[in-house]
Amino acid sequence: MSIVNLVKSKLYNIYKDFETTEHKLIYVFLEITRKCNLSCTHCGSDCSKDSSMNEMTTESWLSIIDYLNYIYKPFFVITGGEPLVHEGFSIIVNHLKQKNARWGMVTNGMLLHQNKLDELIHNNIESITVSLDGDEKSHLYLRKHPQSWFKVNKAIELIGKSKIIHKDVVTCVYPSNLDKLNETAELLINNGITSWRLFRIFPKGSAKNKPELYLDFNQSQLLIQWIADNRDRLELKGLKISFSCEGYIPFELDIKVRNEPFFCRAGINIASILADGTITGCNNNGEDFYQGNISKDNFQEVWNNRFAEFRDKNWLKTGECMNCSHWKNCQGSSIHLRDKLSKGPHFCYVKNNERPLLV
Amino acid sequence: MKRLSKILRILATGSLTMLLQACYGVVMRMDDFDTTFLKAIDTNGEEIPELRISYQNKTYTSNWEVYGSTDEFGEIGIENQIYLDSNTNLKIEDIDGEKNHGDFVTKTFTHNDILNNTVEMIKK
Repeated sequence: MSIVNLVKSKLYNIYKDFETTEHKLIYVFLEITRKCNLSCTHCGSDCSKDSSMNEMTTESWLSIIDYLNYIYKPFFVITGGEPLVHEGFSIIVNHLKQKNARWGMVTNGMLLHQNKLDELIHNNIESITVSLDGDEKSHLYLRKHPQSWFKVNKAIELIGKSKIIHKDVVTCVYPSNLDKLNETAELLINNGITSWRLFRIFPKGSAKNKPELYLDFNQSQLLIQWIADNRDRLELKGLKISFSCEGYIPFELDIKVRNEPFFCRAGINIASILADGTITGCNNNGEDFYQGNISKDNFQEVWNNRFAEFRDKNWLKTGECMNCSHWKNCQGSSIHLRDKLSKGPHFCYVKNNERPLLV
Repeated sequence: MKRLSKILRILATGSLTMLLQACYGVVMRMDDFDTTFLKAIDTNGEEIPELRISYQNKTYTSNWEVYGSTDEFGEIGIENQIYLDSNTNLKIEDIDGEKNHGDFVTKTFTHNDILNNTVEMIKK
């Protein structure tokens, strides 16, 4: 690593320590429902049309927004399931506007027609993220709905033409669409999308025990290298691409593929309220990391006094991480790649039988 | 610490703006959550430490929440989410009498009422 980048990485570690000590809440996921109009092959939350979960009422969500907005003034992220299937969706987003709250949402695009988009804009949506999983064949395989390709393309077209500040698409990259990245990029550019994030599918929820969905170590390197090689070219065309926040990558490569070097902010700057009121870090953190329930616990007390395993990562220094030379920068990788009994992350972008990552 | 943290972030990333992109969440500009440094001076331009800053959000409540105190340079960093909100009233008061360069009159204001984020305090 160059001396400049070495210094930068040291400074960034100090910055992360400051942020961790302060642990200011700035980003809150509100998983308003676990119900979804799709039943995707790779869903990390195991969502489906019917949810057996005892979900919070719309009135409860309004109270939660009032409470969190009053104390923390965070950025709210409406998510699911599919948030647009929630019967109280319009009431919730209008309430966010009334409270002068900043917010965005994640959607699969199936129900995003012009009138709905106008409603979002009217209620001051700042950021929207839609899922598009590569080319038509790859997308349909994951989404398992014959209309999903047509509808997500329509949604992307509408979003691209809209006045929303952050127009973002996420793509789950798996072996079948790894060689389709260029054509997906062109599709997004032609539709006026400005941000594209690329994810690797990880083995949770519906994606568990489906090895055909996982990029192996070498394929993951190819993905990261493709981002590094094409980032500047695509940015000139108006599309900022980045690797997902998942997983530690060495600093020198990291700054070529992400807007911000790796820092798992779950439980440090990010909290989630799941559909049943569960309080956790990011909404894809496993049950091991649930910290309480907002229907019976005082959120402020939970945020201030729990979340210990998110803020002191020393307990992750075990197994393959024990003597790893990347520990100081990595700190055990992302929380959502861990469970409390694991001896390392479910996937490590640095080591594969000690083979170094391409730089 | 907030100012140092911001400087470290800028030095390490080489960027003034920062986007927070949580897993399967949305993209958000994080620097909107930065702080503005409010300065308290007396009529001679002397910085005043140990003044207590409180705020009140008119949308929700008539209660005043204590935010913190000015430091030895008469400064306090206030989050933009609070400071720049048009519904926020700010109150700056002297709670220790003569200890900090004099005993000053309490002042209530919004960020629009002051120039250069500086509050001039008048002695009782």
